[in-house]
Amino acid sequence: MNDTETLALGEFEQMVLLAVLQAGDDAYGMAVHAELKRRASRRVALGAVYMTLDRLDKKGLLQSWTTEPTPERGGRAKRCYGVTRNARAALRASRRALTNLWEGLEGI
Amino acid sequence: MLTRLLSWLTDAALADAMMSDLTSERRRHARKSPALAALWFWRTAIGLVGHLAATRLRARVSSPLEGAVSLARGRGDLRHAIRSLRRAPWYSIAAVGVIALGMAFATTAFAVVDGVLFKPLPYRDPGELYAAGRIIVRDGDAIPRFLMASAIEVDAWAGAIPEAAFATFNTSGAPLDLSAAERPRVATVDAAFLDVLGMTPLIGGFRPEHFEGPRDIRPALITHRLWQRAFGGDPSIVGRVVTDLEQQRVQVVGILPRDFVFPAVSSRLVPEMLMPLVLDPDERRDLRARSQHVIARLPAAVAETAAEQRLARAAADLERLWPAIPPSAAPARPTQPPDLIPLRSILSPDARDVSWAVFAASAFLMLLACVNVSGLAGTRLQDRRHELAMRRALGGTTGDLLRVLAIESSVIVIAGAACGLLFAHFLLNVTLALMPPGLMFLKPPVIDVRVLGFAVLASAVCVAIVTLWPAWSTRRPQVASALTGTRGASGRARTNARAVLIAAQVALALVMAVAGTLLAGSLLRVWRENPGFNPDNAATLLLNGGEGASAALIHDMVATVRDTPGVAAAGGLSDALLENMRNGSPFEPPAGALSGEASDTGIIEGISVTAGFFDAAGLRAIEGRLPTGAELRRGDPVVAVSERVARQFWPRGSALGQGLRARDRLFTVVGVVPDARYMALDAKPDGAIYSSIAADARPSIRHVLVRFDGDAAVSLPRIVNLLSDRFPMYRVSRAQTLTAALGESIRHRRFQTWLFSSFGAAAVLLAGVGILGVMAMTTGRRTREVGIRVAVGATRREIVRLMMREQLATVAAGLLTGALVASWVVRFLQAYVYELRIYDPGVWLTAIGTILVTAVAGTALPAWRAGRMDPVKALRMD
Repeated sequence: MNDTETLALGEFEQMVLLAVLQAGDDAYGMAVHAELKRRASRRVALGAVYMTLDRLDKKGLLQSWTTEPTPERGGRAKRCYGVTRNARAALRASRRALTNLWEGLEGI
Repeated sequence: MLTRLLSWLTDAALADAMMSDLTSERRRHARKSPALAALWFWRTAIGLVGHLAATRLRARVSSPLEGAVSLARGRGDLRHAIRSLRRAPWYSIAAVGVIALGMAFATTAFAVVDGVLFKPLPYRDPGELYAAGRIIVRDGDAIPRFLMASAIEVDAWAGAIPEAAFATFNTSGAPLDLSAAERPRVATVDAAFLDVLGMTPLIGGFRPEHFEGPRDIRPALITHRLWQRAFGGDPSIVGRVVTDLEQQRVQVVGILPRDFVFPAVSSRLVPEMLMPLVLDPDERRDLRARSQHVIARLPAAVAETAAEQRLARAAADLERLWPAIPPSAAPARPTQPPDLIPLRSILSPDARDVSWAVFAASAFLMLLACVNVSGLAGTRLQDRRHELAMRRALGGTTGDLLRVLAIESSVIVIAGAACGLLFAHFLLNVTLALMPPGLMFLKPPVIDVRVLGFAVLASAVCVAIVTLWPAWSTRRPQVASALTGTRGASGRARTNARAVLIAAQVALALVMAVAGTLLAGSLLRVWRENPGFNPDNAATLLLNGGEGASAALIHDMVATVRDTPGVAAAGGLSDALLENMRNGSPFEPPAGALSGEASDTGIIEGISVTAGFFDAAGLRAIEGRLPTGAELRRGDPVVAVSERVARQFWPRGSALGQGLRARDRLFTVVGVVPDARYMALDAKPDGAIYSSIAADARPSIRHVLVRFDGDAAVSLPRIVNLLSDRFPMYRVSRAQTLTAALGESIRHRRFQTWLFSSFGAAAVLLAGVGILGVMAMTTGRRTREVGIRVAVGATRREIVRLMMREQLATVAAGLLTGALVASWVVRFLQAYVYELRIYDPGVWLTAIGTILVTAVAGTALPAWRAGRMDPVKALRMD
């Protein structure tokens, strides 16, 4: 994946990918939403988080798996997400690009 | 419901993940506060649905430019509508409130009746499914019922119609006691059952060997609901062996899908476990072994009448096989073939009429709400005639004006529908709490996608009515007269229309108020009835088990309960108590007894009791004496009879000392006791003959009646524990105070009263709000006139009197019309009314009084405001 493709990631998509990484092994929709609220201090719609997770999954930037159904979840399974290698590369490139752009502008 | 909505907005997998997270999070919140958890859940779920819906809508706009233009134009109109409504807060509140009330009742009613009337059967091609049944005529109503058939008959029918597929089942098995609280009903089904219905288990399923013969461990398919409730939705339950309290072992071999509905006629009979129906060879050969209900899938190519003709021929062939058995010992001969009854119409036939009545009443209420808001909107249009004329003068077309009105109506209806749905949630909970058991639903009565769909449809109809009716009346606004502020020639016609509207609302409200008051009055009368026994501080324990117990053991058990501290008296009886069931009597009427019809005593019940029963029930002898404890323990041939029995059996003399024969034994009447209502509080007392349990051929006990020194509800759990510890062969399946049992026995009546009274109250409230709204608008329009009247010397009292006189004449006309209509409608309520004449003056005066007070309040408030008007300000206004 080259940098041009990386920059095609939207800001929100990047934030969601980072939130998934921050949530660790237990990154499911609600946990990602909580991470965004806690770390980015952003109130985002829960629906937006789910839609973005689904879109990133389809783009191959996230991989998802389901856990065993539990009574706690009304007999339903939990859908967890993990960041793929491509996504990690895209995030690194994005950070690099932003750092380069910020160089010399620390006074702002 | 929510899952389906989410699936529709996204995809099934993502929707499932969302629901999974929401459910988990809700349970986590619920540990702190269930109420806050529910609030959090619905707030989040609504937000989620809103976001997904908006995303979907945006994606659907095909042309971005067209979408943007249309959206911008729509937004402009929307902003204008909201601004305009904010400028008229009373109109907005009244209109939203009226729609909310109507919508709440309509959606609640739909949620309840949908599972009875509209929801399609959840089977493959349900139109092809028929029950082998018979139409029974009861009280003039034709009621379809399943027939019981033998294996030979089913084989003959299958041979007669080879194109059809037949399945059999039986629901008469005992429930399985998984635990004290979990007793699922069990149905046995044949191997073709699920195939014929067109259902596939969610997990697992029956295998052919399950049907080969009886097994030590019985295989069972369980419903999704039982899986969730008893096993927490644990998928590993499939394959596991479960042992019940009776040491029966059952292997769960599969889970039925969530939407599976067993084709039972009553929810009381709905099984939650399916086991293989295995007939032994004797049963297979016995034409009289009729133990199976039959369902047939008849392909569309085979006409129903042709199939019935072939069944008739098969029945005639079977007749030749019929052995010579005395008619008294044999069930009905198979000379009559079964009727093929569409499966849909056999399920819950009793509930269909009531459901239609409820649905019609709710539709009626919704219509009333729409008409009401139309009236308000029409009056409001009069006030906006300047604005509309201006729009018309500036080149606005009829379509433009309609769009403006439709958007404003939509804002009102959507706000009203949203409030109505919230209220419906509460209303549905109350309705479900009062609903009698036994109603068969094809889906649980909840607010789901179908109900929301109905709400959307109802809202669309509302918008159409609320927009088009007022718009029709202003379809040709007279620009010149509107702009100059003069009234058009149609002013009187519009005043008349408003009068008709008020009169019609009053009339409709009166009809519903009379119906509600009649049923509420009936319920009050029922509550005031004397059950014949004393329910204070008394409780009843319904027992199961104890097969083969001796009379001595039964008396020991009752004595143990009686000797418990805090218990004043205890006694047992072998028959149903307040269960809407009759048992019949083994006693033969003596010579000279009147027939039931002649003496108005009806049915005679034989009740076997233990020592202590009369004390526990609070029954005293009104003639002679009660059988003593010793006589009852020994099973002496003595009986006490109720007054009705005494009157019917010995109309010309005393019952004391008379003989009664039962089971080849002669019993002597030693006392007469008051009549008591053992069936239900609202059922006429049957005649009762009390004999000893010890005198029965097979002694048994069904209820233990306990009278406590103090509050029965407090002490009852102690007795339940005592019986479980000391007499484990009996199981207490229900323990309740006698007052609660009396209440339960009239649950149908309480439910009907709740339905009719709440509809009646809503109609009165709607009419009140309608009158208030129209009056407020009318008064507002007459501001200038009032100002002139005050300026030329009219007093406030005269103004109020003038305003009220005009409107109350309309109300009186409505009351008269309503009374005429109601006097016709109440005839249909005769069956629901208890010991009350349908034309009872008290009931009618209460209903009319309520409407009158509401109407006067609705009229007086605006009239009073008009009277307080400052003439200078009034004359300055338009």
